[in-house]
Amino acid sequence: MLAVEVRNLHYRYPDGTIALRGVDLRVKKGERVYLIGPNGSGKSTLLLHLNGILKPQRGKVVILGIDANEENGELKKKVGLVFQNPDDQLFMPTVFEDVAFGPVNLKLGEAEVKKRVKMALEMVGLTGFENRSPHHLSYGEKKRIAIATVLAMDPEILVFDEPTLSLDPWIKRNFMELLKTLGRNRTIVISGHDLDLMKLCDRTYLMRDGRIIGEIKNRREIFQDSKTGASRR
Amino acid sequence: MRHSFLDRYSSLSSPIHRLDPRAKIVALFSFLLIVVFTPITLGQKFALYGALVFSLVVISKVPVKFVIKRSLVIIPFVGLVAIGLPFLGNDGGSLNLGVFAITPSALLLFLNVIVKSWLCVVAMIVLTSTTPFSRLLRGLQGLKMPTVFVMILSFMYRFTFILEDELERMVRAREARSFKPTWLQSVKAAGNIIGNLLVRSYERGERVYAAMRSRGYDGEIKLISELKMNSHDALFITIFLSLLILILVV
Ligand SMILES: Nc1ncnc2c1ncn2[C@@H]1O[C@H](COP(=O)(O)OP(=O)(O)O)[C@@H](O)[C@H]1O
Ligand SMILES: [Mg+2]
Repeated sequence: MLAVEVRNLHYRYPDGTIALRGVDLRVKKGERVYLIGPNGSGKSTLLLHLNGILKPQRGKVVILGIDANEENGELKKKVGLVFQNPDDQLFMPTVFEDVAFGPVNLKLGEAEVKKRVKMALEMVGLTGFENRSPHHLSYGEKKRIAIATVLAMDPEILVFDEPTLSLDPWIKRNFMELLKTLGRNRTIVISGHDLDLMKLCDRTYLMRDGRIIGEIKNRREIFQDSKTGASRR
Repeated sequence: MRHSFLDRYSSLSSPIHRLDPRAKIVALFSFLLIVVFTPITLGQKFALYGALVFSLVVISKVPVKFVIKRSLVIIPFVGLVAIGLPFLGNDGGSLNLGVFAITPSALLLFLNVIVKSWLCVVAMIVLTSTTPFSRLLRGLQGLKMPTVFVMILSFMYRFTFILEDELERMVRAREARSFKPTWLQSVKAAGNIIGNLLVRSYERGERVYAAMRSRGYDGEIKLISELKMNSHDALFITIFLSLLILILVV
């Protein structure tokens, strides 16, 4: 079964901006896919469709066999989305409560919730941060807590929107180590424009002007005219 | 960015800081009620109330100067009441046109508002500067305040930081390009900044809401509450309430 199937997806924001103009994407179960593309190419908009936050206006999104237009919240349990900006993702008064927010909504018992929080914080290397306020943390720490909030839900599909954006090289390496430890039985979709992440993914697709324009096999192809258009040399 | 305003000093360690937030909230509300219902003519009682709160401040190690400074937020109210002074009081002669006569009863009314609100504000400052906001919320929840209110407070707290961040960024951006603005120009710039702040906060709110829905939020917030009252809390409540009642009746 396919984990993600997007067919001819279009999306237009209420202010008239057309963000997606016919996206096609297929991700197999257990596959790691990297979506690379310049700012404004529609990566975030596409990812918001993967767990049902945005509904397809035209075209189809099917996740693990569930049609996004017909689901009612199940997708959010199956797909964990880490937002581009951690300030959008962290809203509870303490780190513990923020990481526990998802598991509590999954109606897990108190003991299980605590276990999940502990595990998630361990995975991002921030054990001991439970009682801190998320908004008093450094940017890199916030970013890692944001990842922990999603890991704690243990979703089948993990989606990271620009996970290495404005991270220093040390924390970026941290993230890359984390990706390695996440194992191979989980489907992962990552967006970004950081070429180093390519080697950790099975496939890299290039996105541009609201479309996925093809698969990239090596770094140099990104700058070639045939793929990116003459304007971008 | 380093923010802290509401619960500044709340991470100090003192017997007051360690109290269960519920004990402190109950103490605060008893204090407010008793202060508000004490007749203003009993001046020495108010002195004792003041002594009671300030002894808490001293025990909590929060700088007295900080508490006083923060309590000055009531000044605008003082001003407002003061403007009305000549028209207040009911023992005649207060409405003499030409000469503003302030009657003793008006003065008493004035004192009533000022003294009581100041004491209450000081007491609230003691609570908020000895209790981290998250514990305060948990305390309110433990006292069965509806979850919706707790969440609204929580968001208010969270969003003040977001607003502050956005504001700081915009002000910095403006200063980086500043050019000795005239009065009109700076008013225009301020208008722009305020408008921008609104739009940005609105958009931010949308994104935060999307993030909440992403993690299974369905309109109902569930929290895990883990507070334990111990003998210290019981002792504090007993002593504090006894003192209050003592001041009131003696
Ligand atoms: N909330 C929004 N309202 C209107 N337009 C938006 C909104 N969010 C994004 N856009 C626009 O949609 C396009 C795609 O944006 P986005 O998906 O964020 O791209 P990326 O994540 O690749 O940078 C851009 O032109 C952007 O300006
Ligand atoms: Mg984006």
